Amino acid sequence: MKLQPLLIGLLSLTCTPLLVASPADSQKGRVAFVRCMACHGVKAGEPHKLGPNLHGVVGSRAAAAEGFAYSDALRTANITWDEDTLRRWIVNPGAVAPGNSMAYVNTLSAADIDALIAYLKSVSAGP
Amino acid sequence: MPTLNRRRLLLGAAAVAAASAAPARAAMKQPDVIVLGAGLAGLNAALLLEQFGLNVRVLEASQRIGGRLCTLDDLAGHPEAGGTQIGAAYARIVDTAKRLGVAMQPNERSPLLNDRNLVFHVNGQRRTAEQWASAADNPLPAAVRAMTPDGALLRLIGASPLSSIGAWRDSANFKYDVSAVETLTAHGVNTEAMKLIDATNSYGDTLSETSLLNLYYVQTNLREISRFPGPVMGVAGGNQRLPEAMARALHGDVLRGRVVTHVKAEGRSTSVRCADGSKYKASFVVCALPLPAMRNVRFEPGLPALHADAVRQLAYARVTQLHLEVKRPFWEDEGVSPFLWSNGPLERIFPNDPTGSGKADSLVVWINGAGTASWDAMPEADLQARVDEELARIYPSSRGAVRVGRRITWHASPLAGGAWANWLPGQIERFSHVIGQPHGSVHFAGEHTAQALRGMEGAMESGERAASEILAHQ
Repeated sequence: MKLQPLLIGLLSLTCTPLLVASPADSQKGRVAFVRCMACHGVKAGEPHKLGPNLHGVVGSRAAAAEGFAYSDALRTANITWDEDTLRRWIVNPGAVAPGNSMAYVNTLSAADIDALIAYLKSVSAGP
Repeated sequence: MPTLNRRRLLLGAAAVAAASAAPARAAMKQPDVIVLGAGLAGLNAALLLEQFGLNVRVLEASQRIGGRLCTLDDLAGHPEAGGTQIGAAYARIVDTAKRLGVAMQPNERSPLLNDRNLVFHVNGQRRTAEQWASAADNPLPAAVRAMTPDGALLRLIGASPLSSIGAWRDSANFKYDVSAVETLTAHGVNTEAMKLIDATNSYGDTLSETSLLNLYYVQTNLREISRFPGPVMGVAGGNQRLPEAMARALHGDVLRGRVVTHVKAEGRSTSVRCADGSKYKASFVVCALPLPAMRNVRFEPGLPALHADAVRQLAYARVTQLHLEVKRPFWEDEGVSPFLWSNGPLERIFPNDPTGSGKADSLVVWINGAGTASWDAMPEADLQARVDEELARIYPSSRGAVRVGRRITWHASPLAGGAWANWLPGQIERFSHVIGQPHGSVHFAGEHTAQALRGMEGAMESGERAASEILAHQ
């Protein structure tokens, strides 16, 4: 069964390390990550690709991964990747930090994006 | 609509992860997915689907892997007949090459390809780049007089108003999906200048058939890509080595010589029939054929009317190349470069010098659009004499210095039908949202269905999208 988007939203808002996405949801997030993985690694210590490694990105300060040459637009945007900001970023990066470098067109639904964020959190919890 | 069994997907993914060191060739019953076309788009879709544990079979019409990546291995210098330059921002290509252990190497800047050394042969007269910039018969506006007319085109339309790499498909920008002529006229480009631009126009046979929005799409791609500095690259040993490595990395079969003629929905499966009588079935199909090849495939049920119109009508660029092997570097005798722009029959010549040595084993004569017709019609036996004659008009010392190694005519190949999709005025508005729409269990890929990037990276992007669509059916 699928979680209702609203429920996922609530879960995300109140998320603690104890709340883990269901296997089906994590599969959905893993599928959504197919659109990201050419540019982004997600395992700890994996080198940056064209985009920065996203290990631990949820909740972190923007432009904080070590050793990645971020655009000025993102570096100076004063953003923390809380889930709402991440959601808006994935829908349209240019609306969050105009002039940033992420050359990307979103094709993910709101539910996909929620699953993607859950996936990013779950892989960041592991090694 | 078939669905993929979630448990199977999860198990499959785990199994693939566990067995990735020595993957066993999957016993092929009915595969989950049949991919049509072993170019970058189809192969990227196939690889991604296998990463999620699906059984995939690839059908390729020719005997060669790679589609419009095509390295001429039997010619001196191994020139590329297809996709040539890989930008630093081509994330999917770079990542796939790295993952498969395919070496990439920077294309060093060749002094032969320095713009300042470019030879202009215009209206039958040879000039240096400097001479051409101030020539009385140079009709280009002052700001771009030193540029090649085709290079000047992207400058002359002004800065792209597209805010992002995907904005070319936004309805707000469809007002630009008109011929480029009016905007060029407004920017002070006269008819003579437009004629020169048309001599080597890559985006339409003539400017009246060139969509301003398509030019902005190109320009926006260049702008966004330039944010990622880095050398232009090629695959070590030739770009075709990448799709070959992708095909080898697949667990499923890549069957060659399978010219697909029918794609038919049959209950929960889709069947694919080939000209050799072979027939295959799967839950899903990824059709990664260029449209001219797809025109020979019958879909049952038929594609929706607008999608069918798109398949029939989307234009493809006509490109003919004459690959010349250099027996003697004739240009050295004349103290010039073989790098040429002309409005005569040879149009453009690019020396092949990926190591930046200043020497070239081969040259490619690159002919676009209307200029291709006379070269295409020429009997093979006459080709050498005609090339010698035309080349000698420009470089008098070139007689006997080159051998025509190969004539490539992309638009005459029934499997390609052109070099790349060229959106004519009005076609982006009509077709860009329908061209990649799934049809039942058939999903579409290929550079013509890319939504953000273009060329090789656009092909990879489209394969990724098609795979994602199928994986979402869990």
